[in-house]
Amino acid sequence: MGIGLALAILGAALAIGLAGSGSAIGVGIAGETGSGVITEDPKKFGKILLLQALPGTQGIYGFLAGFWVMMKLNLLATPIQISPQVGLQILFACLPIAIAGFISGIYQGRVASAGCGLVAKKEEETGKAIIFAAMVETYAVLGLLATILLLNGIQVG
Amino acid sequence: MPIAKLAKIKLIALIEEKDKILAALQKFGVLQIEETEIQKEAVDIKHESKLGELKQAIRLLEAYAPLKKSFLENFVSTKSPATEEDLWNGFHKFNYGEIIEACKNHETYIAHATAAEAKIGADLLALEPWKSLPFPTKKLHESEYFFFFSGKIFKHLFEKLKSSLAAISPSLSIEIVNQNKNDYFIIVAGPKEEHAETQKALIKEGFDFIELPSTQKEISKEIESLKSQVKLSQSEVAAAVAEIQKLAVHKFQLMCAYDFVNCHRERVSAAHKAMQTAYTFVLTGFIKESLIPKLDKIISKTSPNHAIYKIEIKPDEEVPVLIENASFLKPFEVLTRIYGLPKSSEVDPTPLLSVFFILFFGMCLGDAGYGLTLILVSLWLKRKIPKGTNPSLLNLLIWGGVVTSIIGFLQGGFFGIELYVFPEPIHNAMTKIQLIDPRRDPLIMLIIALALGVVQILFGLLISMLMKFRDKKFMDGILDHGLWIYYIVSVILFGLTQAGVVTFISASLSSKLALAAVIALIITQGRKQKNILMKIGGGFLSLYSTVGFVSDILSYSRLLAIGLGTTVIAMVVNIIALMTKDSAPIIGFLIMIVILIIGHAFNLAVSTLSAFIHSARLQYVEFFSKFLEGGGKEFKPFTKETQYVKLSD
Repeated sequence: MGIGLALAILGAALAIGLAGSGSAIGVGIAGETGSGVITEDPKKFGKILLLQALPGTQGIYGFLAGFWVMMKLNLLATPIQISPQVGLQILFACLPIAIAGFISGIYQGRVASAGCGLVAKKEEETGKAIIFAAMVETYAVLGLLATILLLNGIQVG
Repeated sequence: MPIAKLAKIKLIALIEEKDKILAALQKFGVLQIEETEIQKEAVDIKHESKLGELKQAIRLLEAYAPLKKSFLENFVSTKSPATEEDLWNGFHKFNYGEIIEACKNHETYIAHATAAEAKIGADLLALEPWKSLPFPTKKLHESEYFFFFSGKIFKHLFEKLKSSLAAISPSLSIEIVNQNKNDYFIIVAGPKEEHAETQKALIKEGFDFIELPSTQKEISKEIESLKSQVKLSQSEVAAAVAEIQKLAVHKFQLMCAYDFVNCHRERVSAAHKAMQTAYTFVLTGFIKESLIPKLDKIISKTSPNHAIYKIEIKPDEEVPVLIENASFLKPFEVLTRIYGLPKSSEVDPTPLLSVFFILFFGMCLGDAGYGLTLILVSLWLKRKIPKGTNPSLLNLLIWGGVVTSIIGFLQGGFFGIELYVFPEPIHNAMTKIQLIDPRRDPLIMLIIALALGVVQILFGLLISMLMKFRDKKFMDGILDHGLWIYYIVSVILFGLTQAGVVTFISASLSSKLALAAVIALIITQGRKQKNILMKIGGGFLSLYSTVGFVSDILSYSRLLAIGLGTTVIAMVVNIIALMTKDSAPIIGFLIMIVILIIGHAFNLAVSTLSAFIHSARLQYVEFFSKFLEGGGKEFKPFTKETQYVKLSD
């Protein structure tokens, strides 16, 4: 396996690993608060679960980007050999979702956690809590978009 | 599109008919009664305390005898259906007082028993180290000539303690009663005259004083008797819990009684809102204008001597808001309500957002297989959810499923399967329908997404302009919104001619058009400033709004990203499933099926959620901000409000 391919794999790994970590932290934060709300009122389970799931998308976006790299390089069968330059290009193209996914996942978790507090006090306003959390996600979506467009522009093989 | 027209009315009738009229009004449920300034609502202690007791009993029954819930019921709040008669019976025919009393007694008993158990537990813990003492400790405590100290000491300090005590007096005795990993539990005893010195030495040597509980019996016997006490009390608590569970059959009746009292209380509080003279009372309130004649008729039935007349709404008065839409648009009201209702002077955005929302939703999901599944699942859920639950959200998902299927076929997406996998005729048909493959041409999809953004933003500005026209502010409408529409269109046109995409007008003409727009904005946007310099400055500054419009439009790129997300995850599921297929005969195939089902179900759930949220966000943040302020107060007619049961006819 050439260094080019290794660099590309590093890109995919960062996208999946960092964005996934962001999501894990975010879902964790929201889950902690959510459990507290449930001790008071187990009937709110459905709504709290929804809020907790929100910061989970960054991990999916990261995985998606990583998978895009795997598809592009045919990593699941016989990998296409690429030059180190192309490998670096792919690595850099993966960074938007890796970085934005990591940080926005954490912050979305914090907003979702605050949203759990909102649901605890005013259950009928759940929709607003969800929208607040979704505002943060925008930047992960843009990161993913940038990564996909960049990957799409890179010529391999 | 306009919000339902509400009128403010005064209803005057005879005092002796007040109760009957209020009951009729509550049943009809169309009038929102205004609080008068003179009669502030008094706290209704009688009803509140009864409600409190009922609620406490219901809560207890729910805690000790919870109903089994299906997973689905975690997501919808369920109320058992009940008739008016059930409510009446619950209050009048059912001895709820007895049940409340029983619940209270059991609850108090359980609370006391649990507290007592906790105390016994602590006592047991304190006795535990001393259990090998073969005599009642009371004897030690009551000794006349001897003192004693009880406590523990680290094992490695024990020898030193022993020698320093021996140095004080040979008559001191040290007894190891018990030990754990680190400590010896010891009792030091001696004649009273050595008391002070021994204590000093013990403190110095690091002895940890622990009080020895005083017992009548031998400690081991004491422990046994305490343990049997705990057992007895536990079995009694269990019996009390069983009693409570038996009472749970009355839960429904309690709920009915609660809601009966609640309705009654509402009526009493409505009665407080009326102003009255010696013989008549007056109610003021809001009602849908078209329902006034009907109200008149209903009141006439109970009380022919009454008058209803419309009164003028003051310009600065806050009128409650009632939005009404055709039945096929009803599901979209969910979206408007999440944002909050428009003000009474604004428009109802429900029909305006409906087409965009559903289109965006379809683009975000963008897979025909998922669309069809979503329709089926929603239809199934609609049958499963308890009666009386609002099905709006499910109806919305059915709509979303339909649009998703259409867009999915146009994009050639079917559970993320590559089209060439399908047999020839299906493959051919599907490729014929397919207009675009977003995975191969993401740029084209991006342009479509952004174009939709431009359309929706222009549409928002247009609505804003029309609202100004409606209020007869033609100048503001044209300059504040019309001009911006022209500006955005001309700048985009300029860009397109520069790029050579648009050729029906020349590049120079389009640049002049755009320049004209910029100049017009600079001249007009500062017009409300007083000083001439500020007027020009304001004009220039307004151009900065362009940044806002650009970022709004770019925000629509999420339609592409989320749509791709759904498709690619679907593909991933397929690929992983296929990898397992040949791993082992038969079992491999079964694993593949399991992965396919779980994987696609997961993707459908997650993608539907994010399709919904992001499509909604585009409405709220990018679209509503162009024409809607929101913050209207919902029209809440005086009606039978129930907490636990759902009233059915």
